[in-house]
Amino acid sequence: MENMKPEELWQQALTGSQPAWQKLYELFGSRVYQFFLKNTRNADLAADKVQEVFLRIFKNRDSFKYGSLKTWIFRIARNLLIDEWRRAGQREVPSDTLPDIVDAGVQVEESVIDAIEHRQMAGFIDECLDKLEEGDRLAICLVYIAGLSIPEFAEVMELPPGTAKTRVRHARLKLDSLLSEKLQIDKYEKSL
Amino acid sequence: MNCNDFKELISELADLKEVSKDAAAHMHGCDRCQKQFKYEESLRGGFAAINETPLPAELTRKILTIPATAGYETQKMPVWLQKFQALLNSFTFRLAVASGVTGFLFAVVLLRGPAYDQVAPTAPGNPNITLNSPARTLKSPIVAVAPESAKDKPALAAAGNAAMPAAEPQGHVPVLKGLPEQFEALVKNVPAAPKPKNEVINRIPGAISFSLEGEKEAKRQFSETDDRQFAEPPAEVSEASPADASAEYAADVMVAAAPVEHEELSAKKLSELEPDTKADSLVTKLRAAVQPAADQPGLQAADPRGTQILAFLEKNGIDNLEGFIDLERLAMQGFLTNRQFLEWRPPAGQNWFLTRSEGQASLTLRRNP
Repeated sequence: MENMKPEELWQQALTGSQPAWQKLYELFGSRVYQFFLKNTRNADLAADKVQEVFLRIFKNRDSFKYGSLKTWIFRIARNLLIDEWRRAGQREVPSDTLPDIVDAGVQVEESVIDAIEHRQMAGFIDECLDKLEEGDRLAICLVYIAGLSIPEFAEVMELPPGTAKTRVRHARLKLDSLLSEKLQIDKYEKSL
Repeated sequence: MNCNDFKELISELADLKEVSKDAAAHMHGCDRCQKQFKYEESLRGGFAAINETPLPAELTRKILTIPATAGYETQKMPVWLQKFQALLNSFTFRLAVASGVTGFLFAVVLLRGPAYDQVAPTAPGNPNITLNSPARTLKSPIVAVAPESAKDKPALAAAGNAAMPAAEPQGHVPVLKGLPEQFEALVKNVPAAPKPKNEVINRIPGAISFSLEGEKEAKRQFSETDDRQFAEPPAEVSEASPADASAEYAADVMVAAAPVEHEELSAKKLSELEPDTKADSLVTKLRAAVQPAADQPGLQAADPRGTQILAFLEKNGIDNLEGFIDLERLAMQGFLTNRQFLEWRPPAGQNWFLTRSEGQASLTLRRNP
């Protein structure tokens, strides 16, 4: 079961295999939870949304015949998130127009990068994600947290592949810029 | 591959271990890209650390019990019932049901046509005798009559020795005397007929009848009788009860089973009552009932037409031997005029039979061999 594809696990889960269902949860549960948590900043709401996603995919199991299970799950998650944004009325659904951004590259020394632990980097990312716009954060979460490829991201977002690629690149440049700034600050603070 | 291509490539990779050989070769020779790759590794490590954050235990418990809770209704239902439900919800099944209902309604509409209401009942024990059939009612003046009402029942019962009236002005069925017991028993066993309809019986729209030239006058007279009767049905018709209808059918049966010794049912009387309509009418049955009388010795029908035909034969030197006279053949050979042919033509199923006894020729109506 370790080497099985998500779709194969799904088929087994539909036959009543609880281990397969648990394995699916291990594969996607944390990603879906972090996707909602980073975009809502509400742990309870994120948990509710994760439960709703898994409930929906189980109740609508007959509608999934072929394709990527991961794409299907995150399409449901994305739609639930947009509904939540609309319900909250505080945030707007990301528009299709993206401002130009300059690629400045990695502006920190290699030694600084080597010295950062993953847990520390996770904290930096979390702080930077909070500063991103909804559209950029959504793209970063879907590609780097949910683990979608560019074509899968395009399918979930219902965008043309070129547009999807541009949107991910734009979000990534913004994140890199924020992270570089964060790392520089961190280096300065450590030097003190 | 340049540095921008390399950066774009590794930023889109799902797993940095999948970097291509070209990209790896470029990276080994480029310090900037090596730095970029290390940054990318650190970034991916940070995202992986985010995903490694443990989920709330309550959330895990809820999600793992989803198949047992959400799928409970489905699992409790038998498989055959699930399939049956799927069948009911299928488009094919709904289409079949809609087609069946439409066909049933169409059949109901068709079967409600007026032609199917006029199914003539038959006499018990003899399906060949049709009681008051609609076709006969429409064509024959003798049977196109109002059913005998209850007040006529005594007269019908007392008709044992009464002579048949010479002519029925209203076309009533003549009551015959001397009915054999078997026919009386038959009359008693006639089932109650359906109550006659109050409304006027309509002629079949668009129906066309054909007749010979000489029959038009007779047809006209009969159609007038029909029209009068159909347009103004007597009160007995609308107020008739099933018992009355039975009496009517009994009268029909009596007529159909007319006794052989009834002297009124001569060929002459029949010809006066009804020209040959070539229909399977009650008159035909009357003739069939009368004909055996002609076959019996000494009961030859006295028809003046026979005398006329004999005189015609002698006048034209037609020396027929004993046997049936073929009037059609004589007409084809030019011996007979059309008028003569129509006047002398025997009823359907019968023919003139020439007999010679002691030099005396006589002509009687006999059933065709």
